[in-house]
Amino acid sequence: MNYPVWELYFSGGGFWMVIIAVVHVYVSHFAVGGGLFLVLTEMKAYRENDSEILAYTKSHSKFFLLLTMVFAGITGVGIWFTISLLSPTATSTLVHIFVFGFATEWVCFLVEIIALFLYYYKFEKISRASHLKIGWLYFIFAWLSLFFINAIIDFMLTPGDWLETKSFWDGFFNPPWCPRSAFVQHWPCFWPVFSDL
Amino acid sequence: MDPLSLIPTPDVIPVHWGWLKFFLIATFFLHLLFMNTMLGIGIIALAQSLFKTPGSTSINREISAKLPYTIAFTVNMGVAPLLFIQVLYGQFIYTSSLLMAVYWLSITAILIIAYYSAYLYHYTFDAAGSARTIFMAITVVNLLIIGFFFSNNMTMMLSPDSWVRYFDAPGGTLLNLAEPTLIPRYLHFVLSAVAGGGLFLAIVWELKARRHENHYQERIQQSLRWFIGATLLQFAIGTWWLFTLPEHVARIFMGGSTPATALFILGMLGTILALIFGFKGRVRPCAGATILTILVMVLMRDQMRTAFLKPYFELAMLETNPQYGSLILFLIALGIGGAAIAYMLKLAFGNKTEARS
Repeated sequence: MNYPVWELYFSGGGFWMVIIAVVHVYVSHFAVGGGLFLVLTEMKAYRENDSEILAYTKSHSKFFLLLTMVFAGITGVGIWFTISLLSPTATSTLVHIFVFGFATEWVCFLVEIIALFLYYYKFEKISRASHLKIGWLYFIFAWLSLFFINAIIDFMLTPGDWLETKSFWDGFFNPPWCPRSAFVQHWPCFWPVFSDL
Repeated sequence: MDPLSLIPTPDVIPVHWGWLKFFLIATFFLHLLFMNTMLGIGIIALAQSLFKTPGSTSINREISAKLPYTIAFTVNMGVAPLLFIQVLYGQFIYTSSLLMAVYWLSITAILIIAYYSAYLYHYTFDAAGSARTIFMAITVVNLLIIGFFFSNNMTMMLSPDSWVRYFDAPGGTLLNLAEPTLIPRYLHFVLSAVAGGGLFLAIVWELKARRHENHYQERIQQSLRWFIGATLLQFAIGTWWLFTLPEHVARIFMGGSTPATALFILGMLGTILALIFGFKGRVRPCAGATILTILVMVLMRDQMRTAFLKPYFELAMLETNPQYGSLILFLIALGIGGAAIAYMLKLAFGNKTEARS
């Protein structure tokens, strides 16, 4: 038996997918690039002994927390809800192949949350070096979460050798994974960082 | 129509189902600890504001600072069990989600509203005055709605015979209101949250009391009263739930299955033990007994789901295409992630005398 189809009377399923995916992808890229922006700006403040830049970094980290933790985090879960309603068969296939890829991304998400809370709430309450290390760890795990999800998203477009081997690794390291990671993972995340600095 | 014919074909799993079940139970247990705290302290803060309980302002200020954390961790810890349940029971939960798609999809928006409202409550605590109660009400009502949707889905996935309603209403607007277990199950979770919230606050005040020469005894007692009251009510709600279970499911807790019956007895004993410690004002043993009881309840819930689905499906029926390399990747990530968390906590709390330079 196949999965039932959600009968949408006023719009196609793609409408809901576009709304939630565009919003989430736009904001979630800030969650990665913004982490680098925060630590680099903080370092700049220390290097130049500039209290205004430091105050800006602190206030920006609050905005960053509210934007990425709440909006990006929840819309990310929302994408999952959306695809499972619109294409349950495809979602089920994806989840069954990459369950531990998703689980690995979940670990990165957990570390991100803890790092961001500590970064914001411990600003100027712990040593500069410790605070910067927490900021770097936030960025590293945010980058890794994109790394893992990017491979799974690429697989949806071009499953490559997985079609024959059914191997997790063939699916994960699919043909466009490398070039797409190099582009998608870095350009949209980092250009705002370096253009602002 | 034979309900069996409505169940989609399950996909192949990458490791033995025992691994997936272990991760499902472990992460759901953690999710439940955070969820109980989140919803419980929210309900307590709202009740204290509405009934203007003495000392409620300072207690609610404390809650306002902690609620956003608990929402973040509840969501994060909810992601993992939702992942593992889809792998083990995807053919059931995808279908039930789809039948209530409108409500299920709305959870994203409702959660964002609840989350931002909790932050508004926190950041405007002093500035908003009594109007802040509105923010907490928005958070609590929305979280209760999400819980109700989850209870609907978790019960609907267990009853494929209710899925035939889809043919009359394919627009994703079905709930499972005719299911006898729905309301007692939902109330059971809400009450356990109130108990958990009360216990969490008792722990918070006890930790503060140790640092500030025991000024918080009254608050510890007040928090424990929430725990005790909700747990006592739980006996009535739990009994109601038990009596609404189908005969073949209830029977497993009444001698029909040795592990399920043993868990049921352990759950009762753990609850009674937690209550005794609660009455005596012994916060830590009470917390220990409660956490163990929650673990037992999670295992009971799993036994119950297995019994519900037994006429249709057993996990041993799942086909496996071994991909243990992906499991190792996850275990390595878990280890590295755990080490990173421990390191960051050490940086943040480990060396308080370090100079801020």
